[in-house]
Amino acid sequence: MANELADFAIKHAASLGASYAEARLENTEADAFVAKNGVLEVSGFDTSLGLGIRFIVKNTLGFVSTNMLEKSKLKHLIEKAVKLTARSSKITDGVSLSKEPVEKAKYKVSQKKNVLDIRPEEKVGLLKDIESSLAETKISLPGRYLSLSSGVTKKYYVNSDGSVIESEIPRINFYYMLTILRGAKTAQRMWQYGSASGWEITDKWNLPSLLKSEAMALDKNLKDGVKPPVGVTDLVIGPEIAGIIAHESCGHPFEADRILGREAAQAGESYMTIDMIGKKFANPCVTLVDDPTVPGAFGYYLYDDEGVKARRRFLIKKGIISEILQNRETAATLKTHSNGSARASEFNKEAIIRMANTFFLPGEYKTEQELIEGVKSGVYIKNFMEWNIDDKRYNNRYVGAEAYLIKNGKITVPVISPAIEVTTPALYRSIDALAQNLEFHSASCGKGEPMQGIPVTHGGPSIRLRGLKLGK
Amino acid sequence: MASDLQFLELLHHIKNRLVKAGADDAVVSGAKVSGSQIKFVNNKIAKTGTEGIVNVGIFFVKDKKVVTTSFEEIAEITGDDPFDVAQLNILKGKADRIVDKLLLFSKPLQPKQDWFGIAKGPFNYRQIAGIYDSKIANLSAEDEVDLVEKGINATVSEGAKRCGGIFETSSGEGFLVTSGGVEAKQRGTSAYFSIRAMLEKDSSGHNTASARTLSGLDIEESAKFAGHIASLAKNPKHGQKGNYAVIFAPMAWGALLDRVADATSIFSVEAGISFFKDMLNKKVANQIVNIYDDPTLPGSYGSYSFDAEGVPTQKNALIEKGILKTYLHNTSTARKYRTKTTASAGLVSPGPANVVLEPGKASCDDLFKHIKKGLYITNVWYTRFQNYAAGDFSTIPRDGMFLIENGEIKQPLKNLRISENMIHLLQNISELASDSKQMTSWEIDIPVTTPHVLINDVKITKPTK
Repeated sequence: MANELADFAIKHAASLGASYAEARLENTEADAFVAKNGVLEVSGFDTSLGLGIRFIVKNTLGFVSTNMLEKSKLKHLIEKAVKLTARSSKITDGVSLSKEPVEKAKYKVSQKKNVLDIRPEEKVGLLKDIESSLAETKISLPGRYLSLSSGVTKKYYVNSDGSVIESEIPRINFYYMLTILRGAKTAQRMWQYGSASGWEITDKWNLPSLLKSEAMALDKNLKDGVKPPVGVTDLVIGPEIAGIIAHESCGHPFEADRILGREAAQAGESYMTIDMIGKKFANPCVTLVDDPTVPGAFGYYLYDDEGVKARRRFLIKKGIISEILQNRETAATLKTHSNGSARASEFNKEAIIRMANTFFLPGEYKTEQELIEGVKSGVYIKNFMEWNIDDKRYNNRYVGAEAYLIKNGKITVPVISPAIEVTTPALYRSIDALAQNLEFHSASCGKGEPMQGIPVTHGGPSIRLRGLKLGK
Repeated sequence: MASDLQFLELLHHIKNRLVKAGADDAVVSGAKVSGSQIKFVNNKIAKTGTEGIVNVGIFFVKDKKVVTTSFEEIAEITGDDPFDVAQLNILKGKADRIVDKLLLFSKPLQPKQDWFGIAKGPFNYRQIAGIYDSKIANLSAEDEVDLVEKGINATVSEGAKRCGGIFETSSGEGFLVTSGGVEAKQRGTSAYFSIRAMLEKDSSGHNTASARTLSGLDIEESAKFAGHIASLAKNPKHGQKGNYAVIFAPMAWGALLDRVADATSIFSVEAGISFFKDMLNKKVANQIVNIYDDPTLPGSYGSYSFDAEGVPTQKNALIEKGILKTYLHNTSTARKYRTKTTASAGLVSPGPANVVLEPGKASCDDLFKHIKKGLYITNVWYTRFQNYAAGDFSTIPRDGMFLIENGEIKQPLKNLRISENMIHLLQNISELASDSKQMTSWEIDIPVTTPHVLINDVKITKPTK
C-alpha cells in the first residue's frame, strides 16, 4: 500500500510539471536502552514510516516529506511544494542531475540473530555485564552513561528514470561515556561502536572487556601520567585517531557539495579545489578510500538515496588526490558521474553527499609495534577525547586520552592529554609509515540543515607521523 | 484534518488504557507540524522543502520501569474531513495494539529506583503572547521567495560577493494529556533565517534571525551584518597564540552559552557531562553575570506554556551575580533532590528552553575601547570537550575574527582556536554590552539571548605546523 503511494507521488509530481521525480519510503523499527550510573533510565521502541519526494520543477529542486500516508494529504503537500519550488525558479541557476544507469535491485543484510528478535532483557543484560565488568576494576567511576540502540530500516526507492530499489539494513549502535575519578582529578572518555549487522556483532565487540581495559588505562593515566614533551617529536597514532583524521581532514573536504559552496552556511566549505585533483598531497605510502560496500560497516549500503550503485572511492591514491565524493547534482555541475555518495538520515531529509566508510588502507609494516620500534623519542596516542577542525578542514586538533611516551622504540610512561594541533597539509606530509592492523570505528556524522546525523565508519591502521610538535 | 477534539480523544484513550493497565504514570503527547524551507547557495535558491508531520508520543511508567514509544500509524487522522466514529475506532484499535506491545516490552525491564512520578494537575496556563502568527502559518510562496531575495540583496549591498543560507518557517499544534490530570494544548509558529556572506575563500560573516512572528524577523538587518563582517574580514593573516582579551559577538558567545545552559540540567550533572557538579550556590562566574531560563517571555523563540509533563513554565534564575542558583528539574528529579520542579521537563532529561544572559550598561563601542590588545570573534563552531566534568574544551573561531589594538580593529585573522575551560571563561567575563540579540544557529540548539561579551585572559592556540 505504502509503496503504491511512493509510485503515485512521482506520477503526481510529473502531472504537475516535474521533469524528474523520485520517492523514498522508509520504515524503521528500532528499540533503545539507556543506563546511567547503573540504573536503567529509560527504554523504548519506535516505528517510523514516512515518505520523502524530491523533484525538479522549472529547473529548480524541491523536496517534500510526510508521515501522513494518505492520498489526499499527500497530493495537497506535493502541490504546495511544487508551488513553492516553481516560484523559487525566479532566482535559481537551474539544476540538473547527471545521467546514471537505471537500476532495479533488491538487497538485504542477512542477520544470524535478528536485532528485532532479541528480547529486551538480553539487550539490557549486555549493559549489566558492562556495569559488572567496570565494577570489577574497583576504580572510582562516578559517571557511567551507556546507551544501546538497534533496529532495521526498510527502504523502497523509485525514480522517474525507471529505477526501483528495495533494501533492508539492520543497525546496532552502542555509545558510552565514562568519568574516572582519582583524588581530585577526573578523566573522561566517550566512544561508539556501530555496525550494520545482526545482534551477533556484539559477541565480537566484547564490550565488557573493552570498557574495563579503557577504564584501567585512563585510571593509570591519571595516576602516573606525565606532561607531553615540548619540541619536535615523532608520533604513532592508533586506528581510532587514524579514522577520525581520515574522516575530518580528507573525507569532509573531499565532498563535492562543500567544494562547490552548497554547504557554506552549514558545515562549511573546503580547502580542496577541483584543480587539486591529480596533485600530490601525501607521501606515496598513503592511500585513503571511502567505501560504502564494506560488509558490516556502520555506513554500509549498496545503492545510495539517488538510486546510484555504490562503489569504493579512492580519495587519495599513493599520495595523489584521486577522486571526490559526488552526487548526481554535483556530478552534473562538474560534468562527470555520481559515485553514489548521496544519503539522507531519514525520510524527511534531502539526500546530500555523505561519507560512508572512510579509511586509510594498510601499509607495509606488519604491526603497530614495528612502527613504535622506529621511534627514538616520541609519543604513542592510542585514542582521543577532544577533537575539532575548522570549517574548511584545514586546522585540526586531536587530543589524546590514552597515550604513552616512546623511548628508544618502547612504550614507557602514560602521557596526559597530548594535543596534535596541525594544518591538514602538514599532517598528511608527516605520515611516513602505516601498519596493517586495520580497524573500523563508527560514528554519527553531522551535516546539512536541518541537521542530519548519519551512521558512518572511519578507520585505518596505526600510523607513524614524523617531526610534529605537540600543541598545548 | 481531524479536529483537535478528536485528536485529544485519541490521546485520552491511550492514556486511559495505560492507567487501566496499572500505570504509575502515563504521559501522551501529540503534535501536528507543517513547515517549509528555502536553501540558497551562491546567491541563488538551491532547493525548497515542504513538510507535514503528525505524531503521538507515549511515556509510561509501571513499577518504576520507564518506557517510551511513538505511534505514527495514524493516517486516518490526517484526512481532509473530520473522521467518523468508525475511523476513530480503527485508530483506537491500532493504539491498543501499541499499548499491549508496550506492556510486554516493559515487563522484564529493571525499575528506575530513583523515579518519583510526574506532576499532579490540572494546571492553569497563561497564554504567552506573540508565539503564534497566522502570517507565518499562511505565508505565501511569493512572500517566502521575496524574503530570501531581500536577504541575499542586503549582503551583496554590504560588499559580499556571494552568500548562502536557509529560510525556514514552521507552524504547529501540540497536545498533552497525562495521568496527573493534565489536558493541555498550544499552538505556535516560528521563522528562522540564516545567512553566511563570503567575500573571498577566507573572508566571511555569518548571522541569523529567529522569531515567532513575521514582523519580529529582521532578515535585512541580519543579512547586512553578515555582509559587513565578510567585507571587514578581507585578507586575513595567520594569528598568533597567546592569552587575549576577547570580545565575543552574540553568535559566538551564544554557542558557548548554549553549553553553559545545558550543563545546568540535573541529567547532565548526573551523567558526568556538566562542569557544574557540586557547584550549587557556589561562585561559577564573575558577579556581573546573571543568566536565566525563561520560556514565558512573550514572542520569544524558545517560549512555550507548559513543559513535557504539563507543568506551567516559569522563569528560573540559573546564575545570579555569578552564583549558580539551581539545576533544572522535572517533578521526579526535584522530588529526588527534595526541591521543586523548575518546570523544565524533559521527562527523562530536564533542560533549558529559552536562555537569557542579562545585558550590561556599556555600549558595544565601549567594550572595544577598553581593549589595548585583544580579539573580536564573531562566530565559533565545533566545540568539543576533553573533559566535561572539568569544563576543558576547545572551539574554533569561524567567519570574521579580528585583532583589536587600542580599541580599534587592526587586522582580520584566521586559523586560531580557543582552548579553554568553561568555568575560567565565565569567571573572566569582565564586561557585558547593552545590546542583546536572541540567537539560534547551526551551533546553537537552545535559543539564547546575549549581548556582546568581553572576556579577559582567553587562551588562544594555533597549529604548530
